[in-house]
Amino acid sequence: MINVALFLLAALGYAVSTVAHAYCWMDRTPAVSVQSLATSHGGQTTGVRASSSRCSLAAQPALVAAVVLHGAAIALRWIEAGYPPFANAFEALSFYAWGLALIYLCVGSLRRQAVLGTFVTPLALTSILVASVLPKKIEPLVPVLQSHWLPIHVGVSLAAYAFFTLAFVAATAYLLQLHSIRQPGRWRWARRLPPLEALEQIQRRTAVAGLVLMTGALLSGSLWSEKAWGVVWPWEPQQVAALVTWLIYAAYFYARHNAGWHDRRGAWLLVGGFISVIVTFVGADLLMPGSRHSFLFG
Amino acid sequence: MHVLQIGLSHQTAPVEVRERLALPEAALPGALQRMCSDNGCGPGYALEGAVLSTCNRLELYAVAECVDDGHEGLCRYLADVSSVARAEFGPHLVVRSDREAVSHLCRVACGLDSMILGEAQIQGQVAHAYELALAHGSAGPIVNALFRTALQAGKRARTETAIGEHATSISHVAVELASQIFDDLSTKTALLVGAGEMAELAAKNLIDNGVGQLLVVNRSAGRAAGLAKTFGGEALGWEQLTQALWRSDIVLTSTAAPHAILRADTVGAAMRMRRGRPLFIIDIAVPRDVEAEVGNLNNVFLYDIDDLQQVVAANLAQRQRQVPHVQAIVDEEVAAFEAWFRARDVVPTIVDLRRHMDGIRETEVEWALGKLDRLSEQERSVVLALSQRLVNKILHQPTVRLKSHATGRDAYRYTDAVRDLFGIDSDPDCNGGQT
Repeated sequence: MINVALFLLAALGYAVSTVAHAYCWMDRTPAVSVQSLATSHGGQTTGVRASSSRCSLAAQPALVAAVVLHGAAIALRWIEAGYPPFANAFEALSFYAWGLALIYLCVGSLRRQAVLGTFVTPLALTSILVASVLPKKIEPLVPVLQSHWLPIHVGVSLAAYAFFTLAFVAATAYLLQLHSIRQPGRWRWARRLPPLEALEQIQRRTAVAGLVLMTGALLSGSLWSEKAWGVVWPWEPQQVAALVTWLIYAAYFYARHNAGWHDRRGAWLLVGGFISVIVTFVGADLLMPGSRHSFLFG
Repeated sequence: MHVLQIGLSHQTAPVEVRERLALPEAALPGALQRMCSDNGCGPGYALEGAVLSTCNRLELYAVAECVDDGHEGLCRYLADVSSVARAEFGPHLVVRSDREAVSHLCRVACGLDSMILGEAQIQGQVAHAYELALAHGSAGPIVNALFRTALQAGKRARTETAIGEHATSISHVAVELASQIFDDLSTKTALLVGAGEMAELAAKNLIDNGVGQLLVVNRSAGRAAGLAKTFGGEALGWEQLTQALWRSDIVLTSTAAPHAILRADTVGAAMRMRRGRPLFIIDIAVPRDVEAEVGNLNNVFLYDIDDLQQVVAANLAQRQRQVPHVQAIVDEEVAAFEAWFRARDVVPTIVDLRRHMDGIRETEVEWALGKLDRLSEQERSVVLALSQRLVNKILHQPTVRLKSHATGRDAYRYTDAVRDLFGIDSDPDCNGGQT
């Protein structure tokens, strides 16, 4: 029961961080402020920047606390159950949200990119809230899942989804910022987003990390399938969806590095890729009950 | 006691008058020392004072016993320190007192009175005027409170409202856009093609905001070398324009060429050389230097002078919408200052009240003693003592109460009431009954 208490505390942390991030966003201080640069030259700093640092004081620590508590909850559940907690929908969503928050904290909170937390924290919170209404009881592990491949295959897949989610967030922010640059004087609110270049970099790094993990997920899935059923590629829905996802991100990787897609084409491709991720993660199981992966949501 | 102000600004006086009156920075310490040299209305011009001198305004703030005499003193002072005859600046002068003067300084600090609404520099200039007044002994407790009030209003306006947000000049808009596109300007290279005044200003702004390197290309090699030297950049020949484009991330063009100098195919080729990295082009020339089709290329961000001017106009309109919010802050700060200022009146009010009563007492004692001309010395002293005891007894409670209210925010209500009920003039020494 301690793990449930920790989980609820973590959920509270995510909620606090979401609210704090939203407050930071509403706060007048834009991320880009030429005037404040100009005044600091004049020797008279007017405290224009102070408010933004004040609000991130609440947003970041709340998220760090939530991630620590959540991590502890997952670890305790692992010990309590005696098997890695990736075996049902609650556990999968919970781990996905945790990974998303953790990766964001590692790559996103550097410098001005902290503003992306405004988008990431609600996503993590939503996953947690959805997870919290799912059955949380620890059941004995079904025989097919009793394998060393379970933590590797599911853990790697969920980590890949988390990276792809961050790439999607960065791509969305990129498209919004792009619109505000193309229509200067309008869409002022988008100015507080990080600069295009920084967003593009985050997109690229997270998408590539996701691609590497996704490759691992496909390979480990095949090996496990071979061991469990004797078939390397059983053409089952989630596997096909995962392959499509992999192909989209592989195409992005190629276009980004060889065709110079540093622009909106790359960002749109990542948005499309994320739809494929959702289909892989949720759709293939929900829409096709009876598949080999359906223990997750079935 | 009154807060007074006289001054002229870009709104009230033509530049010919302003430039003649302008007090150079070096002259300010001496001028401030003369302002209140005797710290009294004698040889000095005011009790306390400060001078706010910028290129758009010259304003004198002072504290004096009387409004009219005080303004008169300030005008004489201005004529003396600037050596300009009063007749020349007199018609352009705006004269304010008390609440209006305090409110004006607050509005000035907030940038509401500035040529560019909400500009931030003025806050520093007000702070500077305050520092000078402190350093040269012209600031007393009232000027102190006055300037602290104004600086507080200015600071609040800029943090609580968006009056200072969004660039209001073409070169600042260019910098703002650059920082929306590029992550780290110090790793970026700017290219200046041609040499218009505005392009140079924009280049200077980019460098001030951290752009790493500057390339200069000009038809005249000498001009290019000169500009490169001014900004610490690198001069390149006209024929190297294409190569320069490969190396640059930000391009500023302002040549006098009658036709486009950057065509879509040239820029497209450069983009391939740049492997698709973003290119930000600001075309300030008329006729335009860059073909409009260039803006359709992927990751090329092209703005011409009209685009930038539209942004400036939109940003100014945005600031204009903040004015009511700023005015509300000013009103709050002015009200707080007034409450403090009037609370200072408690002791003078008690003194005035006692003097007033003593005046009555003396007249009445004189009248009574005139009627009773055969009183002994002892009897006379009893009458005198009676009158004094009566006044003391009557004034005891009001004095104690006024003192106990002195620290409250609404002390002025009591002093005002006392002055009103007893018909005590606030400024017994002032001629003309100005209060």
